[in-house]
Amino acid sequence: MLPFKAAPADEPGGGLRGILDRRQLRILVSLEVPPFGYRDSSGEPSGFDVAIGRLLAEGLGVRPVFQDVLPGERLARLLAGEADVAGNVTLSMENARRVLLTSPVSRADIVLAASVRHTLRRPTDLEDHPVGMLAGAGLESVAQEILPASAPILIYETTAALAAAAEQRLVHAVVLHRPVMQRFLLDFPGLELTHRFVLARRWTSVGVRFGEHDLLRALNSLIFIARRGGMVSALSEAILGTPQAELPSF
Amino acid sequence: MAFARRALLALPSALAGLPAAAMARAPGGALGRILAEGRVRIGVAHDIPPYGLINEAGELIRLEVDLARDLARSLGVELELVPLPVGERIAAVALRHVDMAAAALIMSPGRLLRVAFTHAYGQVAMLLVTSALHPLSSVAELSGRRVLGMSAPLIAALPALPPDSILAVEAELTRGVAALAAGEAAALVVAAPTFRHLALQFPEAQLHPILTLSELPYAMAVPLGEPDLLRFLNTWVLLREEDGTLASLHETYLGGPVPDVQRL
Repeated sequence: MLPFKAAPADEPGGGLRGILDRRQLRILVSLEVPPFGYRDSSGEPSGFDVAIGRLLAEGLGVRPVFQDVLPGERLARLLAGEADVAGNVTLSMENARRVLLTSPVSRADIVLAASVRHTLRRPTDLEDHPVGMLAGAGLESVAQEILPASAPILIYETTAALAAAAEQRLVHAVVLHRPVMQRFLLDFPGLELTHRFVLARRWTSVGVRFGEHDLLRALNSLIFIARRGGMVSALSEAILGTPQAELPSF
Repeated sequence: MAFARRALLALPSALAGLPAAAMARAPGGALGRILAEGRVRIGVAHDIPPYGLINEAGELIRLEVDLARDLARSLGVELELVPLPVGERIAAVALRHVDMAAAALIMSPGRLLRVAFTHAYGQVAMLLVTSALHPLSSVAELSGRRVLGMSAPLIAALPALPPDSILAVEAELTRGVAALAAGEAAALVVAAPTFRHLALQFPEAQLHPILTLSELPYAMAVPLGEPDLLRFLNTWVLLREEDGTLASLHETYLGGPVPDVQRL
C-alpha cells in the first residue's frame, strides 16, 4: 500500500498555475514508437502525441517541452513530478487508478500480427505461442483478457527490441496498436509478420496527476475545441492514417 | 495475479532510480484512502426491486450490487456492501457513512446541494400508479388526495401533479401498495422497473400506471469535495458504457436497451 501525501497541485509550482508561470508545458512522450512519437529527419520530436502536445501548449499559450521516455516509464515519471502531463495514456481503469485522464484524443485497434510460419487465426490458436508487445501502451491487460493463459507475454521497451525478439523467434506474434503495427511491419519487413486479427479497441488520452483539476479542465476544454474544429481528426488522418470516429467528451 | 502466470522479461524497473517520493504520488481524499486501505464502502439499495433486494439467504442482490462489485474490481480493492434504505441514501453519502452510493440515484436539484453526482448512465420513467380497486380517470382527480413517493425531493420535483395534491413520503413499498389498495392513498410514484415488479408481486392490488410523469436521469453519488474520486467514477462510467457492461446490466435487471443519456 502506498502512503499518500498532499496532491501535487497544493505544492508550489504545480498544476495549471505552475505551467502558466513557467510558460512551459512539459510533456512526456516516447520517441521510438512511430507514428505516435519519433524524431524526424532533423532530429526534432514528431508524431501524433507530439502534435497533440503542441496543440495543448498552444491552447494554453505556453511553449511545449517534450521529454522522451520509455513507454513503460511515462506514468511513473509523471507521478515523480518530472513533467506536467503524459501523452498517449490508454483510457483504462488501471491507469485511472494512477492518474486523471482527459477526454480521449484517439482510438485505435489493438491488433496481432504473427509470423507466416504459424497458422494463428484466432486468439485461442495462441496457446503456448509467446507474444511480444511494448511496455506502457496498455497492451498487457488487453492481452491477458483475450489471449490464452498459456501464451507467454513478453514485454519490450522499444520497437527495435521487439523486432529483434521476433527475428530471433523469441516471440511468434506481436501485439501493437494498429498505427504502430502498420509502421512496424513497414520498418521490419524481414520479420515476415502478417496482420491476423483485432484484439480490442482502446481510447488514448493525456494523463494528469491527481489533484490537478484546473489543468484537467483546461485540457479537456482544449481537446473539445480541437475536436469540434476538426483538428484532432485531421492530425489522426495525416499522422496515424486513420480518420477519427466521434470521440466522447467526459 | 495474472502476471505471475506469464513469463516477463526482467525489465529495468520503471521506478528504478526515481526518488522515493515518486512512489507516494497517490490521489488525495477518499480515493486515496480507498486505494491505501484496499477497501471501498458502497451503499446499495436493499428494498427497491429490481435495484436492490435481500434474498432468502440474506444476501444483497440485483442491479446496484452488481454495479458495486464491478466498481470494487475496477478500484482493485475489497468491497464492503452497505445496505441503505431508500430515504437514507443521500444522507449516508453526504455524511460519509459510505464512500459512494452505487445506486441508480435520480439526479434532482435538491440532491445536488448535498452530494456530487457522476455522469448519468441511465434514465428511468417515473410512473404515477393507481389501483383499479379505486380507479382514477384523470390526474386532476388527485386534487386534495394523497400521493405517495419514496422520497420527498423526488416527488416534489415531479411536474404535472395538481398543486393541492397531498404529497407524502412512504419509504416502504409494500406499505405504499397496501395504502393504494385500501384507498388510503390515491396514487403512488414509482420507477417503471419497480412498478413492473410490484404488479407481479401484488396482483391483488390491481396496480396500473395512468401517467408517465417524467424521464429522469440517474447516476452514482459521492460526497462533495472529492474530485479525484468523482473523476475515477466518471472514467468508469465511460468505459463501462463503451464495453457494454452497463447496457448488459440494464437489459438484465431493468429490461430493454439503455436509453441515450446526455452527459454533463
